[in-house]
Amino acid sequence: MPHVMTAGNNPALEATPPKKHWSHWLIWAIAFLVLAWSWEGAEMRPASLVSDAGNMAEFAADFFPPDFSQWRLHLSEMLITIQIAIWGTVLAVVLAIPLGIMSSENIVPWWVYQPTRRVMDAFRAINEMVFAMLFVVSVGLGPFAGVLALFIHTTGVLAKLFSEAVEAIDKGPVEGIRATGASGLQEVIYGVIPQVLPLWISYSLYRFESNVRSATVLGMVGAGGIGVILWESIRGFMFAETCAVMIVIIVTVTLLDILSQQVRRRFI
Amino acid sequence: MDNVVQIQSLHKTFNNANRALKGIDLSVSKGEMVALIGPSGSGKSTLLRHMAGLTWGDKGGQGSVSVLGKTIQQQGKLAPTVRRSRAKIGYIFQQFNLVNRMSVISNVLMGSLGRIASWRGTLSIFTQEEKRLALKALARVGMESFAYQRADTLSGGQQQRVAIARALMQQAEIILADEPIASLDPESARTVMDILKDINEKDGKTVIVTLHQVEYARQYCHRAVALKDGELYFDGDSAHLSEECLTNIYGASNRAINSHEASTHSENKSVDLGVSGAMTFAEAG
Repeated sequence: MPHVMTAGNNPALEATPPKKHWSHWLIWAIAFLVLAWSWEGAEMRPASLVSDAGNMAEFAADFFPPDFSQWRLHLSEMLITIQIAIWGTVLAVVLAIPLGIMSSENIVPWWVYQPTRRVMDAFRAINEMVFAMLFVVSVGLGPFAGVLALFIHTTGVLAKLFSEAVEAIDKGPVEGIRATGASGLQEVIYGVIPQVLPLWISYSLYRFESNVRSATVLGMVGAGGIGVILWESIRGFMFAETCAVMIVIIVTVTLLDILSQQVRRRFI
Repeated sequence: MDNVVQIQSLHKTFNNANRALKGIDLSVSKGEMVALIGPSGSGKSTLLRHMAGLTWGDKGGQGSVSVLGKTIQQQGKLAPTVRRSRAKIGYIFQQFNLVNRMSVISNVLMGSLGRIASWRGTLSIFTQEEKRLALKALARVGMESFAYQRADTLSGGQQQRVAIARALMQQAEIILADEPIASLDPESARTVMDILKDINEKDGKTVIVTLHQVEYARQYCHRAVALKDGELYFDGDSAHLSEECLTNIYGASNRAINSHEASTHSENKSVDLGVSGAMTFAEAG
C-alpha cells in the first residue's frame, strides 16, 4: 500500500496557528472610525437621557393606566389590519412565484433574469409607507391602498427569496424530468417546485408576520387599519389610549408569531 | 438491422480547454446491449448525455448525433424536435434523479409527460389507464408495493428500479443508462443489471450502459465500446477484451486494483447468485 500516511510524519501535528495579518487590525480601526464619524451625523446626545429624565418620567406616566374604553373599536381595526396583511401577502405570493422563477439564473437566460431582478429591486427599495402614500393619492384613503402597498413591496422581497431557493436546487431531478421529453414548464413544475416548496411556504409565512407589523403603521398615512387610531391618539395627546392600542398590537403580533411558527414547523 | 444510434465526428470541449470527446464515430443497431467502458474522465458519460441531447457538442464542427432516425443535434445545436426524441429515449442516471418529495407512482407517471397532451401533463391529470400502466411498470421491476410511498424513503437500489420503471412508462425504444450501478451495493447492482438485460432480451429494446467495472460489461453485454481520453479505443465483442487491452485503457496500476475488486465481487457472486437471481426473475415476471 503506497499511499498510507502514518501519524508520525504528519506535519499538521506540529503546526502553530497563523499570526494575525496586519489587515485584521486595519478592519477594526476602520470600524471604529465609521462609528465615530456617524456619531456626529446622528447627533448622539446620551447625556440628555439623564438631564431630561424627569420629562420622560412625566411623559411615561401619561401612558398609564391604559385606556381600554374603546376596546371594541381597537379590536375591529386590528382585524382590518390583519385582513390588509393577508391580502397584501397572498397577492404578493401569487405574483412572486412566476417572478421568482424569472429571476433565477439557473432557469432562464440572462436577458430575462436581469431585467426582472432590476424591477424587483425597485419594488423592494421603496418602503411600504412610501407606496402607501402614493396609493392613498391614486385609489383614495382606506385599507385598499394599504393592501396595494404591501403587495408591491412584498412581491419584490419574495421574488428575491424565492429565486434564491430556486438557485440552490439539485439539478438532478430537473434533468430526470427533462429526459422524459417534458416541456420547460413541466420541468419547473415537477423538477423545481417540489424541491423549493417547503422554503417558499416558510418565507411566505415569515413575510405575513412582518406584513402584520408593517400594516399597523400604514394607517398613519391614511391607508387604513389600527394605524389610523394610533396616529390620531398620539396627535391628540391621548397617551392612555395610545398605550392601549400598543398593547393590542403587541398581543396580536405575538400571537401571530407563535401561530405561524407552529405552521412553518410542519413544512420543514 | 437499423442503426438506432448514429454518431459522427462528435467533439466536445469543456471551458475551451478540456477536450472530453475528440471525434467520436459510433453506431448502435436495434436490439443491441452495449457496454460503454473506460476510466473516469474518459468521456463515456459525456458521450451518453449527448445521445439524449442533455449536452451538446462543439459549435462549428461537423459533429452530429441522431437517434431512431431523428437528429438530436448537429454542429453543436440541438434539433427543434429534441423533446419528441427524448420521449422515445429512456435515461437512467447514476443518482436516480427522482423527484424526492413525490410518491413513487407520481415519479413513474412522469414518464408519460413526453407522450400525453401538454396541458394534461402540466396539470397532473393522468387517466386510469396511465395509472394502470405505471403500476404495471412498477410490478415489472418489483416495486409495486411501494407505489404510494414517497420516493426519498427508498434505498438507492429501490430508487434506481423506480427510475427504470419511469423509463418503461415512457415506452422508450432505447434505454441509455449512465453508471446505473455505480452508487449501489453489489446485490442491488446485479438486480438492476438483470432488469436491464431482461428489458433488452424480452422487449428487444436497445440498451446502452456506461459501466465502471469491466466484469459487469463482460457478463451482461455482448458488445463493449471502450473510450480512452475522449477517443474510441476498442469496439467489439466484450469477450475479446484482453487483459493487455484493459491495461492499456485503465493503466497498469489501476488495472491491478480493478481486477482485485472484481475477483472479490465474483466471490460474493458465487455465494448468493442463486438467491438474488431467483428473486429478480420472480419480480420481473
